[in-house]
Amino acid sequence: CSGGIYANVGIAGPSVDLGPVSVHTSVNIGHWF
Amino acid sequence: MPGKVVWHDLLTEDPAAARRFYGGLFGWTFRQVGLGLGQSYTVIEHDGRVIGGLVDARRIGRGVNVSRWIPVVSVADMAAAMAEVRAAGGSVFQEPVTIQQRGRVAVVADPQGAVLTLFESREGEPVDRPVEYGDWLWNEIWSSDPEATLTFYLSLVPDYEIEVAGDAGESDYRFLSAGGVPRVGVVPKPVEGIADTWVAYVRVLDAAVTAAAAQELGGEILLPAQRNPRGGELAILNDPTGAGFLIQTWAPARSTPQPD
Repeated sequence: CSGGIYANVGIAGPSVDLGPVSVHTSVNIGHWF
Repeated sequence: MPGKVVWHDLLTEDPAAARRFYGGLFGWTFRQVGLGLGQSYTVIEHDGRVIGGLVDARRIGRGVNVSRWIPVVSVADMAAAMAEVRAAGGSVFQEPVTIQQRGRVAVVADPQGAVLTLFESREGEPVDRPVEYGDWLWNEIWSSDPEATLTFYLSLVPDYEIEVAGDAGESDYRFLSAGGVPRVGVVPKPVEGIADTWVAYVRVLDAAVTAAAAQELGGEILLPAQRNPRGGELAILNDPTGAGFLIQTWAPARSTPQPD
Protein backbone atom coordinates (compact mmCIF):
# COMPACT_ATOMS: atom_id res chain seq x y z
CA CYS A 1 0.00 0.00 0.00
CA SER A 2 2.87 2.38 0.61
CA GLY A 3 4.31 2.02 -2.88
CA GLY A 4 6.14 -2.74 -0.34
CA ILE A 5 8.63 -5.10 1.24
CA TYR A 6 11.50 -2.99 -0.09
CA ALA A 7 10.23 0.29 1.38
CA ASN A 8 13.02 0.43 3.96
CA VAL A 9 15.89 -0.79 1.80
CA GLY A 10 16.98 2.81 1.33
CA ILE A 11 18.40 2.58 4.85
CA ALA A 12 21.02 0.21 3.43
CA GLY A 13 22.41 3.08 1.40
CA PRO A 14 22.62 3.97 -2.28
CA SER A 15 23.34 1.71 -5.21
CA VAL A 16 26.57 -0.25 -4.84
CA ASP A 17 29.08 0.69 -7.52
CA LEU A 18 30.69 -2.52 -8.77
CA GLY A 19 33.68 -0.79 -10.30
CA PRO A 20 36.41 -0.24 -10.93
CA VAL A 21 37.60 -3.85 -10.67
CA SER A 22 41.19 -4.33 -11.73
CA VAL A 23 41.98 -6.82 -14.45
CA HIS A 24 44.24 -8.59 -11.98
CA THR A 25 41.45 -8.98 -9.43
CA SER A 26 38.89 -10.08 -11.99
CA VAL A 27 40.51 -13.51 -12.32
CA ASN A 28 39.28 -14.33 -8.82
CA ILE A 29 35.59 -13.86 -9.52
CA GLY A 30 33.10 -15.73 -11.68
CA HIS A 31 31.69 -19.20 -12.17
CA TRP A 32 34.39 -21.17 -13.98
CA PHE A 33 33.77 -24.67 -12.71
CA MET B 1 15.71 -26.53 -2.11
CA PRO B 2 16.90 -24.24 0.71
CA GLY B 3 19.78 -22.02 -0.37
CA LYS B 4 18.61 -21.72 -3.95
CA VAL B 5 18.33 -18.23 -5.43
CA VAL B 6 14.81 -18.61 -6.76
CA TRP B 7 14.76 -15.33 -8.65
CA HIS B 8 16.04 -11.76 -8.61
CA ASP B 9 14.25 -8.48 -8.04
CA LEU B 10 15.41 -5.29 -9.71
CA LEU B 11 14.85 -2.09 -7.79
CA THR B 12 15.05 0.65 -10.39
CA GLU B 13 14.64 4.40 -10.46
CA ASP B 14 13.50 4.23 -14.09
CA PRO B 15 11.32 1.21 -14.91
CA ALA B 16 10.83 2.24 -18.54
CA ALA B 17 14.58 2.55 -19.14
CA ALA B 18 15.16 -0.78 -17.41
CA ARG B 19 12.65 -2.52 -19.67
CA ARG B 20 14.29 -1.08 -22.78
CA PHE B 21 17.77 -1.98 -21.56
CA TYR B 22 17.24 -5.58 -20.45
CA GLY B 23 14.77 -6.29 -23.22
CA GLY B 24 17.25 -5.13 -25.82
CA LEU B 25 20.23 -6.82 -24.22
CA PHE B 26 18.89 -10.25 -23.28
CA GLY B 27 15.51 -10.48 -24.96
CA TRP B 28 13.77 -10.37 -21.60
CA THR B 29 10.09 -9.51 -21.70
CA PHE B 30 8.05 -7.69 -19.12
CA ARG B 31 4.50 -8.37 -18.13
CA GLN B 32 2.71 -5.82 -16.05
CA VAL B 33 0.33 -7.34 -13.57
CA GLY B 34 -2.46 -5.14 -12.30
CA LEU B 35 -3.06 -5.50 -8.60
CA GLY B 36 -6.05 -3.24 -8.23
CA LEU B 37 -6.20 0.10 -6.45
CA GLY B 38 -4.01 1.57 -9.16
CA GLN B 39 -1.08 -0.64 -8.20
CA SER B 40 0.92 -2.78 -10.57
CA TYR B 41 4.01 -4.94 -10.64
CA THR B 42 6.22 -6.05 -13.50
CA VAL B 43 7.20 -9.69 -13.89
CA ILE B 44 10.39 -10.36 -15.88
CA GLU B 45 10.30 -13.36 -18.22
CA HIS B 46 12.86 -15.03 -20.46
CA ASP B 47 11.74 -17.57 -23.04
CA GLY B 48 8.35 -17.61 -21.38
CA ARG B 49 9.68 -18.37 -17.91
CA VAL B 50 9.56 -16.01 -14.96
CA ILE B 51 13.08 -15.05 -13.85
CA GLY B 52 12.44 -12.04 -11.65
CA GLY B 53 10.53 -8.91 -10.89
CA LEU B 54 10.91 -5.20 -11.45
CA VAL B 55 10.11 -2.80 -8.62
CA ASP B 56 9.71 0.96 -9.06
CA ALA B 57 12.19 2.32 -6.52
CA ARG B 58 11.40 6.00 -6.89
CA ARG B 59 9.46 6.03 -3.62
CA ILE B 60 12.05 3.93 -1.79
CA GLY B 61 15.23 5.96 -1.94
CA ARG B 62 13.71 9.27 -0.86
CA GLY B 63 16.02 11.15 -3.18
CA VAL B 64 18.85 8.60 -3.10
CA ASN B 65 19.33 6.21 -6.01
CA VAL B 66 18.91 2.71 -4.59
CA SER B 67 18.79 0.86 -7.92
CA ARG B 68 20.14 -2.66 -7.46
CA TRP B 69 19.52 -6.34 -8.04
CA ILE B 70 18.40 -8.22 -4.93
CA PRO B 71 18.51 -12.03 -4.79
CA VAL B 72 15.54 -13.93 -3.37
CA VAL B 73 16.96 -16.88 -1.43
CA SER B 74 14.93 -19.87 -0.33
CA VAL B 75 15.01 -20.88 3.34
CA ALA B 76 13.39 -23.90 4.96
CA ASP B 77 12.31 -22.16 8.16
CA MET B 78 11.73 -18.41 8.13
CA ALA B 79 11.55 -18.08 11.91
CA ALA B 80 14.87 -19.87 12.34
CA ALA B 81 16.44 -17.82 9.55
CA MET B 82 15.32 -14.54 11.11
CA ALA B 83 16.67 -15.67 14.47
CA GLU B 84 20.05 -16.30 12.82
CA VAL B 85 20.01 -12.87 11.17
CA ARG B 86 19.37 -11.17 14.50
CA ALA B 87 21.81 -13.32 16.46
CA ALA B 88 24.59 -12.60 13.98
CA GLY B 89 23.98 -8.85 13.97
CA GLY B 90 22.30 -8.57 10.58
CA SER B 91 19.67 -5.96 9.70
CA VAL B 92 15.96 -6.44 9.11
CA PHE B 93 14.31 -4.15 6.56
CA GLN B 94 11.05 -6.07 6.36
CA GLU B 95 9.74 -8.52 8.93
CA PRO B 96 8.33 -11.75 7.48
CA VAL B 97 5.00 -11.31 5.74
CA THR B 98 2.75 -14.00 4.33
CA ILE B 99 2.06 -13.83 0.62
CA GLN B 100 -1.19 -15.29 -0.60
CA GLN B 101 -0.76 -18.67 1.05
CA ARG B 102 2.40 -19.22 -1.01
CA GLY B 103 4.83 -18.70 1.81
CA ARG B 104 6.58 -15.95 3.71
CA VAL B 105 9.06 -13.33 2.62
CA ALA B 106 11.41 -10.99 4.51
CA VAL B 107 14.10 -8.49 3.52
CA VAL B 108 17.35 -8.46 5.48
CA ALA B 109 21.04 -7.69 5.28
CA ASP B 110 23.74 -10.10 6.40
CA PRO B 111 26.07 -8.97 9.23
CA GLN B 112 28.44 -7.43 6.67
CA GLY B 113 25.61 -5.45 5.06
CA ALA B 114 24.76 -7.39 1.88
CA VAL B 115 21.02 -7.13 1.19
CA LEU B 116 18.92 -10.17 0.31
CA THR B 117 15.33 -11.33 0.42
CA LEU B 118 14.45 -14.53 2.25
CA PHE B 119 11.63 -16.71 0.99
CA GLU B 120 10.02 -19.66 2.75
CA SER B 121 7.85 -21.46 0.21
CA ARG B 122 4.86 -23.57 1.09
CA GLU B 123 4.70 -25.21 -2.31
CA GLY B 124 8.30 -25.70 -3.37
CA GLU B 125 10.55 -23.63 -5.59
CA PRO B 126 10.95 -23.71 -9.34
CA VAL B 127 13.18 -26.59 -10.35
CA ASP B 128 16.73 -26.25 -11.63
CA ARG B 129 16.98 -26.19 -15.38
CA PRO B 130 19.77 -25.80 -17.93
CA VAL B 131 21.19 -22.27 -18.05
CA GLU B 132 20.60 -20.75 -21.48
CA TYR B 133 22.04 -17.51 -22.87
CA GLY B 134 20.25 -14.65 -21.15
CA ASP B 135 19.48 -16.69 -18.04
CA TRP B 136 20.87 -16.10 -14.59
CA LEU B 137 24.09 -18.07 -14.36
CA TRP B 138 25.60 -17.47 -10.97
CA ASN B 139 25.56 -15.47 -7.76
CA GLU B 140 28.40 -14.14 -5.67
CA ILE B 141 28.79 -12.32 -2.39
CA TRP B 142 31.51 -9.68 -2.48
CA SER B 143 32.52 -9.62 1.16
CA SER B 144 34.72 -7.52 3.40
CA ASP B 145 35.13 -10.59 5.62
CA PRO B 146 34.67 -13.84 3.67
CA GLU B 147 35.23 -16.02 6.75
CA ALA B 148 32.46 -14.26 8.67
CA THR B 149 30.21 -14.32 5.61
CA LEU B 150 30.66 -18.06 5.15
CA THR B 151 29.98 -18.67 8.84
CA PHE B 152 26.80 -16.62 8.71
CA TYR B 153 25.36 -18.30 5.63
CA LEU B 154 26.13 -21.76 6.99
CA SER B 155 23.96 -20.81 9.96
CA LEU B 156 21.28 -19.18 7.82
CA VAL B 157 20.96 -22.16 5.48
CA PRO B 158 21.96 -25.36 7.30
CA ASP B 159 21.89 -27.21 3.96
CA TYR B 160 24.84 -25.18 2.70
CA GLU B 161 28.29 -26.74 2.49
CA ILE B 162 31.55 -24.96 1.69
CA GLU B 163 33.31 -26.16 -1.43
CA VAL B 164 36.50 -25.02 -3.11
CA ALA B 165 37.26 -24.75 -6.81
CA GLY B 166 40.63 -24.18 -8.43
CA ASP B 167 44.17 -25.28 -7.85
CA ALA B 168 45.63 -25.21 -4.36
CA GLY B 169 46.78 -21.73 -3.49
CA GLU B 170 45.47 -18.35 -2.50
CA SER B 171 43.40 -18.05 -5.66
CA ASP B 172 41.13 -20.89 -4.56
CA TYR B 173 37.52 -20.00 -5.12
CA ARG B 174 35.13 -20.82 -2.29
CA PHE B 175 31.43 -21.30 -2.79
CA LEU B 176 28.39 -22.61 -1.00
CA SER B 177 26.53 -25.57 -2.41
CA ALA B 178 23.28 -27.19 -1.34
CA GLY B 179 22.38 -30.75 -2.22
CA GLY B 180 25.53 -30.96 -4.33
CA VAL B 181 24.52 -28.00 -6.49
CA PRO B 182 26.72 -24.86 -6.43
CA ARG B 183 24.63 -21.87 -5.32
CA VAL B 184 26.76 -18.84 -4.44
CA GLY B 185 30.41 -17.87 -4.43
CA VAL B 186 31.94 -15.94 -1.52
CA VAL B 187 34.92 -13.80 -2.47
CA PRO B 188 36.89 -10.91 -1.00
CA LYS B 189 35.51 -7.65 -2.36
CA PRO B 190 37.35 -6.92 -5.60
CA VAL B 191 36.51 -3.22 -5.24
CA GLU B 192 37.76 -1.08 -2.36
CA GLY B 193 35.41 1.17 -0.47
CA ILE B 194 32.06 -0.30 -1.47
CA ALA B 195 29.41 -1.90 0.69
CA ASP B 196 29.27 -5.69 0.82
CA THR B 197 26.88 -6.91 -1.81
CA TRP B 198 25.43 -9.87 -3.64
CA VAL B 199 26.11 -9.75 -7.37
CA ALA B 200 24.37 -11.71 -10.10
CA TYR B 201 25.72 -13.08 -13.37
CA VAL B 202 23.92 -13.53 -16.69
CA ARG B 203 25.19 -16.11 -19.16
CA VAL B 204 26.07 -14.64 -22.57
CA LEU B 205 27.54 -15.94 -25.80
CA ASP B 206 30.10 -13.14 -26.21
CA ALA B 207 30.97 -10.83 -23.32
CA ALA B 208 32.58 -8.12 -25.46
CA VAL B 209 29.68 -7.93 -27.90
CA THR B 210 27.14 -7.89 -25.07
CA ALA B 211 29.05 -5.19 -23.20
CA ALA B 212 29.13 -3.01 -26.31
CA ALA B 213 25.41 -3.54 -26.78
CA ALA B 214 24.81 -2.58 -23.15
CA GLN B 215 26.61 0.69 -23.72
CA GLU B 216 24.52 1.38 -26.82
CA LEU B 217 21.40 0.80 -24.74
CA GLY B 218 22.41 3.37 -22.13
CA GLY B 219 24.34 1.15 -19.74
CA GLU B 220 27.90 1.55 -18.55
CA ILE B 221 30.87 -0.79 -18.83
CA LEU B 222 32.61 -0.94 -15.45
CA LEU B 223 35.04 -3.68 -16.50
CA PRO B 224 35.48 -4.47 -20.20
CA ALA B 225 35.35 -8.12 -21.20
CA GLN B 226 38.29 -9.97 -19.65
CA ARG B 227 39.58 -13.35 -20.67
CA ASN B 228 39.88 -15.56 -17.61
CA PRO B 229 42.83 -17.96 -17.25
CA ARG B 230 40.32 -20.75 -16.64
CA GLY B 231 38.68 -20.08 -19.99
CA GLY B 232 35.80 -17.80 -20.92
CA GLU B 233 35.19 -14.11 -20.42
CA LEU B 234 33.36 -11.85 -18.03
CA ALA B 235 32.48 -8.16 -17.89
CA ILE B 236 30.90 -5.91 -15.28
CA LEU B 237 28.08 -3.59 -16.30
CA ASN B 238 25.73 -0.99 -14.89
CA ASP B 239 22.23 -0.65 -16.25
CA PRO B 240 21.00 2.88 -17.09
CA THR B 241 20.10 3.66 -13.47
CA GLY B 242 23.20 2.19 -11.86
CA ALA B 243 22.13 -1.33 -10.93
CA GLY B 244 25.27 -3.42 -11.38
CA PHE B 245 25.52 -6.98 -12.66
CA LEU B 246 27.98 -9.24 -14.45
CA ILE B 247 27.91 -11.10 -17.72
CA GLN B 248 29.93 -14.22 -18.35
CA THR B 249 30.51 -16.85 -20.99
CA TRP B 250 30.35 -20.36 -19.60
CA ALA B 251 30.73 -23.89 -20.91
CA PRO B 252 29.16 -26.32 -18.45
CA ALA B 253 31.19 -29.36 -17.47
CA ARG B 254 28.92 -32.31 -18.06
CA SER B 255 29.81 -33.78 -14.69
CA THR B 256 28.92 -30.64 -12.77
CA PRO B 257 25.36 -29.89 -11.65
CA GLN B 258 24.24 -26.55 -12.99
CA PRO B 259 23.51 -23.59 -10.74
CA ASP B 260 20.33 -21.56 -10.73
